[in-house]
Amino acid sequence: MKTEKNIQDKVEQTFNVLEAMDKASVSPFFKDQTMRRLFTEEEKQNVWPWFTPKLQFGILVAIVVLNFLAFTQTDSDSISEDAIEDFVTTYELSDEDESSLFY
Amino acid sequence: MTENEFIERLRNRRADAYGKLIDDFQQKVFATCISFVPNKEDAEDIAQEVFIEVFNSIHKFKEKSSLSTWIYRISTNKSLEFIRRRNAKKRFGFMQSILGSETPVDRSNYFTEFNHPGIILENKEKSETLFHAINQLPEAQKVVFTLCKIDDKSYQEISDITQKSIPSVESLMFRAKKNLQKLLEDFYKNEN
Repeated sequence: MKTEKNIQDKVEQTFNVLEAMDKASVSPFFKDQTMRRLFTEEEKQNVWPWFTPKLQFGILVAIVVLNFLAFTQTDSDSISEDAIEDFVTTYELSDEDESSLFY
Repeated sequence: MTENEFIERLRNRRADAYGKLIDDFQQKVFATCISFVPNKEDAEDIAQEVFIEVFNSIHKFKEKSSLSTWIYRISTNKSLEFIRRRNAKKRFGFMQSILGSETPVDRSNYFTEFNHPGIILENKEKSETLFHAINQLPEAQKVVFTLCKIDDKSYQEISDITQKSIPSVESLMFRAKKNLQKLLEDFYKNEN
């Protein structure tokens, strides 16, 4: 019973702390520090100010759409055998004609 | 100069307007921040974040509420963000200790250390206990209790800041007091 009363007293004393709390003052340099942060961060932000997130997103969407179109509209049958053959000969990619001093 | 003209100057990023804004609001913003986070350095860092947010978001300010209410709302949100970040860090530290990591657990607090210039030394321990108990309340109750009992805001001001009706604020306040009473009782029972 006594302990219960003790606990209630302590709880009450803890709540009473709020009444005894004084206002805390901000440090005298707060304004200067904040002004410095505000206007130096603005300078940092001004690098490429025209490249806004909206524009970045637009460019990203355009790239994705172009890739998608290129992927879906390229018809593999349209690349002729002759064209591949020419490419292989021009760049000497064929295994058959390979010649080397070390062979 | 009317409030609208002053807001226009803020939108134009005029240094003199921000100088005046800080002169007018630094103490009030700091008082709100230190009510949530009882450490002078932490509270000043949060207060700076508040002014940076005002600077970056003033063009989004719709003027549905007064400028001061909007600034108090930012102060409350920034303080809550800080507490959430610290609580998450504490949980991460606890997980690391379970997994056997070398990193010591951040046993301290959601604030760096208890350092509230408005609290006398003999009340320090009790205040720290109270702030810990407040931190365990659900967020809505925590906000209402802190703004009312520590930052001395009226129910009308709290209603404007939190965008809740006055009866809701009263109800949250009632539940906050009840929960705090229980939390403190449990704390002192375990202490004995």
